Order: sequence, then C-alpha cells, then structure tokens
Amino acid sequence: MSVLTIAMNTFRESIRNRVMINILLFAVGLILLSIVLGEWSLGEQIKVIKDFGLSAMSIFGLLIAIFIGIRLMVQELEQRTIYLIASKPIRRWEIVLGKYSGLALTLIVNVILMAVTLLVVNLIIEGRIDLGLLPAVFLIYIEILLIVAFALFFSSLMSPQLSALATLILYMLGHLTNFLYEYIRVFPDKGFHWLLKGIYYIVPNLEKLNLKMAVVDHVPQPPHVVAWATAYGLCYIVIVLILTAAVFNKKDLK
Amino acid sequence: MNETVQKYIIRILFVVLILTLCVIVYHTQTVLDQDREVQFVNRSPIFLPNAKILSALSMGHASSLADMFWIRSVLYFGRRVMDDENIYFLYELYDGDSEKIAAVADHHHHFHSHGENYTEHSHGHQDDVHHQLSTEYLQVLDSLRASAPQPPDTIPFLDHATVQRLFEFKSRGLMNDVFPLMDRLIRLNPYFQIPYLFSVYVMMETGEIDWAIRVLKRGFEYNRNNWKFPFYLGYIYWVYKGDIDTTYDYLLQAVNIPDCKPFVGELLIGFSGQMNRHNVTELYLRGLMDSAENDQVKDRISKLLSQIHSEDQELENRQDEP
Amino acid sequence: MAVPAVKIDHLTKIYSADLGKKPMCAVDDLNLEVEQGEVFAFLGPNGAGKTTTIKTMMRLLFPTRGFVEIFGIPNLSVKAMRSVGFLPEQPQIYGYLTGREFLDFTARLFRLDRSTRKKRIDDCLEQVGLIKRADGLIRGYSRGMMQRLGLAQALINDPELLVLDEPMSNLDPVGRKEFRDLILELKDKGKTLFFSSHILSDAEMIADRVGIVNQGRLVNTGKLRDLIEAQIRSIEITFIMTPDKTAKLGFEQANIVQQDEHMLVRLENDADVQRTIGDIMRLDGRIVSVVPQKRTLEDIFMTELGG
Repeated sequence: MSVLTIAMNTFRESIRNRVMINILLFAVGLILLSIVLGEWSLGEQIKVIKDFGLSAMSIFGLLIAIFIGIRLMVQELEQRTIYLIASKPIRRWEIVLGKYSGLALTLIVNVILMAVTLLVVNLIIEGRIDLGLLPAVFLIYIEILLIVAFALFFSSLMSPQLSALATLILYMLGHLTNFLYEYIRVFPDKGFHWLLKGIYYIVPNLEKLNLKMAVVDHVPQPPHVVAWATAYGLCYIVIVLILTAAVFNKKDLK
Repeated sequence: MNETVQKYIIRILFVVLILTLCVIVYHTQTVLDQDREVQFVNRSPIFLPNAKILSALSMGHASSLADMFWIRSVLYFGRRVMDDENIYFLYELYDGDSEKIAAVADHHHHFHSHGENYTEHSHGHQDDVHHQLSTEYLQVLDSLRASAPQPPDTIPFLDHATVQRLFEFKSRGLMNDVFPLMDRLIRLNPYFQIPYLFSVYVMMETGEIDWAIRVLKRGFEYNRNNWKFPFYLGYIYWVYKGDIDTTYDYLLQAVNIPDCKPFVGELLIGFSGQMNRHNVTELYLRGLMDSAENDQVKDRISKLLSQIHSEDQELENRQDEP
Repeated sequence: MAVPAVKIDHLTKIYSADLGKKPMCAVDDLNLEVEQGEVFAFLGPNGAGKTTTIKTMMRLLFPTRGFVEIFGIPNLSVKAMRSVGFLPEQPQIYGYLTGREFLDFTARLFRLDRSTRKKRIDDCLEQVGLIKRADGLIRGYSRGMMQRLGLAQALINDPELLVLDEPMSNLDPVGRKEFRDLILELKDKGKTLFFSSHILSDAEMIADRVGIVNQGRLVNTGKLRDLIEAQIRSIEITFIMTPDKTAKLGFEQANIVQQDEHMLVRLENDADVQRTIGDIMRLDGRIVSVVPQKRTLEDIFMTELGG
C-alpha cells in the first residue's frame, strides 16, 4: 500500500519532469529520422529502421534510467524531501521498492511509446507490423530495469555524478563481459584470470538481454531464450534491490 | 559517505579507467597487428578498428553500427560502383526497389548504345556470359574514364603515383576502400546479407574470385535461408572455375530453400540433363530475364540472348559447312 | 502513571569517522522524558545537537547507543510513527506537486481512507491558513508557505505527539502569532508538543517545560517557573541630572552608566532604592524609570552555557 503510494508519486514526478519528456521526444525523433537514414541504405530501409529504432529504445532507455533514476533518489536525499517520507509509518525498504516500482512504471510507459512509434513507422514503410520485434523490445525493457536497479543502488551509496559514472561503466562492462569470457577462454592463464572471472560473474551480462540483431535479421534462437533471459534479468534485479534496501535500511539521512 | 571518500573513489575510478584504456589500447594494437590474415586487404586508406573491437565498442548495438557502415559504404562507394554498370548489382537492386533503379538506369542509358557490339567472342569458352558482361563493363569504364577529370601534373605532398591512383576511375581502385568496410560489416552483423552480396558483385567484377567464394561461404554459413548464397556460389563455380559438380551441389541446396526463384530449378535441370553449356547459359539468362521486373534490364538480357543465339546459328552454320 | 509521550534513554549519536576527519559526537548520553499533554521546548544554540536528537527520534538517524520510545513503543517500529506528526527544520517539499496533492500523498502514507483524507486535508489547510494556495504548485511557494504546508502535513494524521524542529524560524511576526495560537489550541486538545528552538522568547511564551542542550548534553531541564526565579534580582533606575550633582549621590563612578543626559544605576536591594530615589528628588533630578530586573531564560541560558 505504502509502496504503491510512493510508486504512484514517483511516476507522477517523472512524467512531470522536463528532462524525461525531452529524452523521450528525442528518442521518438530519432526513430523517425531512421526513415531518412534507411532511404540512404539502398533497399535496406526496413532493416535500418528496425535496427535504429531498437537501438534508440535501448540507448534512450539507458539515458532515462541514469538521469531520472539517479536524480530521483539523489534529489530526495539532497533536498531533504526524504525527511517527510521516512518519518512516516513506512519501512525503508518500502521507500526503495516504491521508488523502483514508480520508475519501472515510468519506463514501461516510455518503452511502450517508443515501441508504438517504431511499429507505426514500420507499418508505414513496410506495410505491415513486425510483431517479431516485441521479444527484443521486452528484453530491452528488462535491461533498462536492471540498469535502473543499479542506478538506484549506486545513488544510495554515492554522489549523483559518481553514481552516473558507475552506472555507465556497469552498462559498458555488461556489454563487454562476453569478450571477457572469450578472452579467458582463448588466452592462457596469465595469473589474473580469477579477477576477470570474478568480474564476469559479478557484472550482469547484458548481451544475454540483447535480441536486437536476432529479431531484425531473423536469426534462429534456442528455445525459451526470452524466458531464460527474463529470469536471468529479474533475478539480478531482485538481488540488486535487496542490496539497495539493505544499504538504505541502515543509512543515516543526514 | 563524505566528500573525501568520494574524491578518493573518483581518483581510484579514474586510475582504473585509464589503466583499462591502456590495456584496451595495447590489446587493440596487438590484435590489429596479428589479425591481418583474416582481412580482405592488408593496406587500407581508411582507418578502421578490428571488427571484434568495433563490436565491443558498440555496446550491444553492433547491428545498428553495421547499418551505419553500410549507409556510409553506400554513400561513399556504392554510387560509384553502381555507376560502373554492374549488371549483377542492378539485378539485385531491381528485385528490391524499381523506382530508384530507374533513376540509375536512366543515367546508364547514355552508355547503353555503345555496349552492343561484342567482339572478342570465343565460342564454347566457359565464361562467355561473364566475358560479354565484362566487355560491356570495360567499355563503360572507358567512357567514364574519358569523361573523368584529368589529374594535375603535381600536387604538393603527394607523389605522382598517388595522384594517378586518386584520379583513376575504375572499380579496382575503389576496392581498397570498400573491402575494409565490408569486412567490418559482415563481422559486426553476420546476419546482414546485402554486404556479402555487394562485396561479391564487386569481387566478381575485379576478378577476386577466391575471395568472393570465401565471402559467400561465410554468408551462407550464417544465412541458411537465403537461396542467393548457394546460387551465387554455384554460379561462380560454374562460370569462373568450371567445376560443374560443385555447381550442381550448390544449386541443389539453393532450390531446397523456400523463396528460391524457379529459374534456379530450371538451371539445375539443365545441368542434370547434361545439356551443353550454351543452353545452360541461355536458361540462366532466361531465368534472370523472367524474374527481373524492369523493362530495361529485360531488354538488355534479351539482347544478350539474341546475340548468343545468332552466334550459335553462326557456329552451327560453320559446323555444317565442312 | 501514564507512559511518557517521549522517552529518550542514554541517547548517544556519534557521526562515524570519515577519512581525514575525527568522529563527531553530536549527542552525548542524553536522557529525557516528555509527559503526555505537555508542551516541551528543546532549547540550545545552533549546533548543540537539537536537530540530531529530533532526527534520531524520527528514525532518520540511527543512534550509536541508547534508544527512544514514543508512547512506550520503540521508535524504530512503524507503529510508533502512526501517532506522530513531524515538521523538519526548513522543510523541503516536492515542487512538482500542489499543496493539496502533497497532503493527499502524506495522508495515503498514513493509510487514511478516501473520505478521511479529504476531510483532514481541508481541515489542515484551514488550520495553517493555506487553503487559498492549496492548488498551486509547491515550486511557487514562499518559505513561509512551505513552513505552513510542512505543519499541515505534520497534522494530517491528527497526531497525539507533534515534533517540530525550529518551527518558527521561517515565519513572519503574524505567522508566529498564529503559530503560537495553534500550539495552544492543540495543547487544549490534550496533544503533546515537542519543539526545538534557538529563539528563547518562543519558548518563554508557550512552553510548559524546557530542556537546555549544549554540545550534545542536556544541561538543564525543568518547569519554566522553577527555572525563572520569581524574585527580583535588581532594580534599574534611570534619571536625568547633571554629572556634578550625580557625584553627590555617593556611587562609585564605575556603577553609573551615562547615556547623553540620562543616568542609569543598578541597585541590589530595596533599601538602597528607596534612599537613592529620595536623594535624586532632593537634588532636583528627574526620575525617568524604575525597572525591576527579573532572571530570564536568556540569563539561564547564558549562565548554564557560559558558566
């Protein structure tokens, strides 16, 4: 109940936030721009639109996650609005979960808006709606959820700038771990592989949530890949949220 | 956590970041140094990092990055390669979007009238079709070269050979620029089909047949559902290598893929019926003509067909004489 | 006997040592009880540990040692907060909401049902005099309005205990007057009030009992009447007379303060006062005022903290 209240307020805050509206407009603009880029691609327009559309969703989702996710938490702490919340009959973890749910709601609205834009463009150019894109869209959403969870975690520990940096590094590492794994496999042990392995297993492997290329180029996928990836992402999210709640639970709100 | 701790953490993070970048830089260099043998060309006028690194840098957007490379390739080189009146490429484009091709074809119309007298024909030669096409192509090139701007005698900083190369107007001169891009493209997104085919059309023109086969094989490996890969493989083995058995194998694979054009089946029947080569060529061109949607391409193919036909007649007459 | 509204037991809060800094002890072994229905003023200079104590009470901070109970319930349990209203120092409130939306949000956190919410919001807005601006965005509120809204949200659950941190600091004189009236009204309803201030006159007018804190320690606590001794400590006589005549009064020069033509002398006992007034009249001086000097909270403050 309290979680819902906080969630709805967080949602209201983010949709009244100009930064987010701008990012969203920019994303929609980029999807529309992909029509022009597609024109230049010699008969590959539809593919380009789909690729760029999905990439735009992922990148702008990341931006929204970083800007809004970190801002919400940090603003609450720095401007001391948290005093009025945390002193109410509410548990600290309810605040964390409420904030997170509100962000998740905000992001799903964003993702749906971007996806609808993409599908409408797809309909206009291709003459049909490619529902095959939806699994990739869904996993983009899961990826963004995971990033937001980390953003929230970092911002409960450190300053906003540092949190943004850490979230960005996490995003990069998350896409690089595949190469890390390959590196460990291909190159003989140089003595620091335990470290690389540690990074590989700690940092979420975001490539596992990346179906963009697969859906656009109709690459056959192993069965239940979306279900497995979702389970992977959700488990990660729960772990990070628990850690965030634990940190927040013991945090002095100075 | 207070500011001092944050300052320390920022410093540590920056040190880690810089060290990481150093490792990446070192690794980039090493890989670039070692990985040459898998690339199309050793020397490229454009600097591009290795495909694996590009893929890593793309942060999960390899497909979009490949698209950007494709657009870049098309914008910089595609037009010029298209201008070179590449019949394979025109056919490919025709299948896609007829309006755009019409514009290109208009542009070509001017050269078209010159391309009618096919001289050096040796009958029964295994690559007669290709030969005819490339003869026409060379003529087009000649006229293009004639209309191209002439290089100045000297340009400061550049030696004479470079100046000449810069003003040389032919596909072979472009390949050094096109291939590195294509190489990155098909490695970034191995499921992106048109760069394979684009590379292969260009390679067939420039005679880099072994490379064309390698590219097609790689493309087919990743894209089992596109009949064009086995079809062009078969075609290349037939026209350039004279390897009918391999051709037969590939065409068989092509016809088993849904969406395969009917003429491939006819071609296969032609081969299996032990027809003589000219008839197979005719069959191939007929198929090409039937599946083309643009009248100008059809015209040109029918002219080629009648040319072959009259040459066959001549051949028969000559055989009848003694 | 009823449980105390607030019980603070051996509360110690040490801000942990960060790199390059010494650990800071903000509250040092503080014991305090506030009875139900009492108006308690928590006094002390800036940085004395008032806010730290209040934040610990409201579980924004966690004590290093000791504990706090609200109506006998440990303050770390959610239940303890149901009957508490809290106004932080210079409250900051979401600028993107309207006053009414924010009150609705806080009412929901107390799980009030729809009809109760509506009634309480209107009541509270009325009480703090914000009803006219309730539907404007908080972003456009002045500091005083923000303070009023902060008070309104503290009242939303009709709390038994109201904890206010420097409640008067952003208010204009009219606001202060209204605020004092409100506190007395709440007191009449039997609510317990706990407020901090560094302005003594606030406390003097409304508090039943005060606690004085300095450097994290509770220095003194007691009923106002006990602390402010009723007895007159001294009497100040101001009069107009020439300096040469003044010299004839027989005071040492150091004890007489001259301001323009006004002379001021401070006397300790009644007999001296009677004698001096007589002398001044005899020498044709003019008495301006005779003011008895009481021991004020200010004095207590000064002696407790300084001495």
